[in-house]
Amino acid sequence: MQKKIKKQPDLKSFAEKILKLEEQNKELEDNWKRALADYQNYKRRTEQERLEIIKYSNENLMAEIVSILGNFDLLLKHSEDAGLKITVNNFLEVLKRNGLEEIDLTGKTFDAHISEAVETEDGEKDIVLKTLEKGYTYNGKLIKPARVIVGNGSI
Amino acid sequence: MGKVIGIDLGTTNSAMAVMEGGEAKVIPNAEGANTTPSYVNVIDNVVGAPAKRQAVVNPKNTIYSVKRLMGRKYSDSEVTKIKKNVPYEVVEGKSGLAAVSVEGTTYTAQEISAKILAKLKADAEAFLGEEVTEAVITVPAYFNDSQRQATKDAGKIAGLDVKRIINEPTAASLAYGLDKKTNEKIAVYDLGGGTFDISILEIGDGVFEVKSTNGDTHLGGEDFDIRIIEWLAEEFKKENGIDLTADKQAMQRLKDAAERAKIELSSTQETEINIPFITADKNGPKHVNTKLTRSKLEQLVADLIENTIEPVKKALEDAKLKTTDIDEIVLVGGMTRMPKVQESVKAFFGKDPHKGVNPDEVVAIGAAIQAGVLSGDVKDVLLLDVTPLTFGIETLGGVMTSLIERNTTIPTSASQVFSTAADNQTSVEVHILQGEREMAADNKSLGRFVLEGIPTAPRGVPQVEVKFDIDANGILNVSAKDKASGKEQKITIQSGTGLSSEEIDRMVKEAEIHKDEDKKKKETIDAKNTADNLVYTAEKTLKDFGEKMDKAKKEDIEAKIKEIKENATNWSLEELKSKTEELSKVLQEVGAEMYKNQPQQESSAEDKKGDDKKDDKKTEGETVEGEVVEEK
Repeated sequence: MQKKIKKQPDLKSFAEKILKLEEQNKELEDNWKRALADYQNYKRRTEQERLEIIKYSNENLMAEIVSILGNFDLLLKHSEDAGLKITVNNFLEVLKRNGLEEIDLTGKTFDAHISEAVETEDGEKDIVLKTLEKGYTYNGKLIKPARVIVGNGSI
Repeated sequence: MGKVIGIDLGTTNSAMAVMEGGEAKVIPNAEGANTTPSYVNVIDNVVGAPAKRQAVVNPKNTIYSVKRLMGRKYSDSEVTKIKKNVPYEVVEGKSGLAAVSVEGTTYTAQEISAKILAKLKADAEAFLGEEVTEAVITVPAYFNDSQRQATKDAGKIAGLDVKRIINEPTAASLAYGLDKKTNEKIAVYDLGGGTFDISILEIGDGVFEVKSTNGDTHLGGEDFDIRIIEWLAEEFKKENGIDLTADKQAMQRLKDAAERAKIELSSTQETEINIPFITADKNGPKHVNTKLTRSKLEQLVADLIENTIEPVKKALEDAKLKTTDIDEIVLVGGMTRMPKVQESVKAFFGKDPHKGVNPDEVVAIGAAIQAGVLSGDVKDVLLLDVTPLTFGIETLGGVMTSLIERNTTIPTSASQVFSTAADNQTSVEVHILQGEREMAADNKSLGRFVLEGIPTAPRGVPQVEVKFDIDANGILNVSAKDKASGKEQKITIQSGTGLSSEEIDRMVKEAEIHKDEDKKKKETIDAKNTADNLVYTAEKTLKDFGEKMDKAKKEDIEAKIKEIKENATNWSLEELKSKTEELSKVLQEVGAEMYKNQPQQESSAEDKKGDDKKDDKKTEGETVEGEVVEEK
């Protein structure tokens, strides 16, 4: 009898221990799966970012070039030199071949996703009356919105 | 369970971040930018940068700075001020609260803010690839209960369960880990695009308490830009006699150039400002072509920086503290990138401010950390160790060949196949090393063992795979296995990462100091090993094919072998390299000739490799060139 009494609490503590371990096991498994999932998600995103980086690796450089492209337009406006015109066009051709596209909204409906209205003037409502600075997209992504004057509806 | 994001809902710009793998990461918006202008076109439902770009066209429909209206009564003097300065209509809404009216419909400030939050939510979901329903949002420390409630409501309208509203300076402090300090006083200096805030906080037992706040609601980066623009226009007038201030287009170009110059002067001492064809007179086109130095810029804005110090003094007074009581200084806002601003803050407090976190993103990052704590992400983050130093083994010539590079996250394992250095070598010694130096002798020896019973074979043929495995506790297990016989030997090194941080620092520093000489030594040994290998190949070629060879060529090779053998240790690196190259060339010629003369005789797979045969042999079976040191 005495033996039996002695054994019972042992069994109980074993059962408790098992329950505790089971719980711990579950928790560990959960943590492990989370870590694995985090890693896989991270890998997926890194891969995506890598592709983005490849796609837009020249974006910063293009954005810098684009910030002074407007000066070429002004230069051509002030010069009659045909050689200069050809040279500038050559340069623009190179940029275009590499994914740069000009945004020209003059006469079209104003679109805030690719252009910035800096002024309104008398003219047809929401129509771009004048482009002050050209905008550009690079591989389809906006890198410089065009700066435009938009009609205010009173003619 | 979805992620909880942290949102910095700003007056002019908003940003968001999330905890990922134990670190806060800023979430870019759909346009790819890390911050989103707090602009909303209510009618067309356009939010962010596009809304800002069309503000001029739809001034009455475009709401910005709505944060200034949040939770305020219409009768509030601040609202009266705002009403005068914005083109949209500010009206009295429900319960006397300030609201906006667009095309006859009244919107509460919460509803407008909700549109910004909804865009951030949608962009975060697109970025994370999962639904986002919970957020932590930051507010200025001076926001009262009704302003905080309004912010919470805005989140609710946007479909976000706002887990907590926290103070912007608190978030910035969290981003620098200051929650781990106890009983410290923190000054948070926030100079943004249009507002300046100073907050004095006290941290005790992980809880931040705001002791006082002060600031200037109309002082910020834009004022700095204006100073540069004014200076440019003035200089231009002095030089050309033309006033540009009435020319909108010219002023726009000056503004762009001023912004760029300001940013550049945070990292350089001088910048050039070139704006061609800014205007023209009867003599032709005129250009802006000038230099702005950092010290000139500092002169132009000296009073603006000085103006931030007065509110700081007042805040300290209100908190009943002296400058010397402040333990930590945190900088927030893009303008705090300016060296002069940092210097002034440092001079005032007599202490270096915290730096390192992007001041435009620091509040959002802190919000994300708070969000992580609330969702259990931060507490439960398993902190994985990295190996502080490189692990490797000693290879031929006393060189250390690394298997696990320093700063690799553990647990990790790596293996590499090595070979023997001599013919009929039956055992190899694996000498385990730790350190950053090129030569084995300069690194710490962790242990060594010998793998015996390798079947006799010419050198380079046996394949011994050495495997390193470091478990999560930093215990290193190294095993070596001969692939042919299956014989294996291993060792366990308990104190794999048991070096003190001083020792580690010293070892890394030493490696840096000796970098060049170590490189030279290694190059010399590499060259010797290459020469030795070539001599071995040449001797073998002579033995196997000597009879079939042209006699003159044979003698030439023999002479070259002898020369290298005798002088390898005396020659300079360049000499050794060129002599090795000469021998290699002759051998290649001989090889090519032999194949040409007997194209049919050997039709094995090797034959197809033609001239490359010898090179191929070295790398066959992924055996690495560095060989395990010969057992003595």
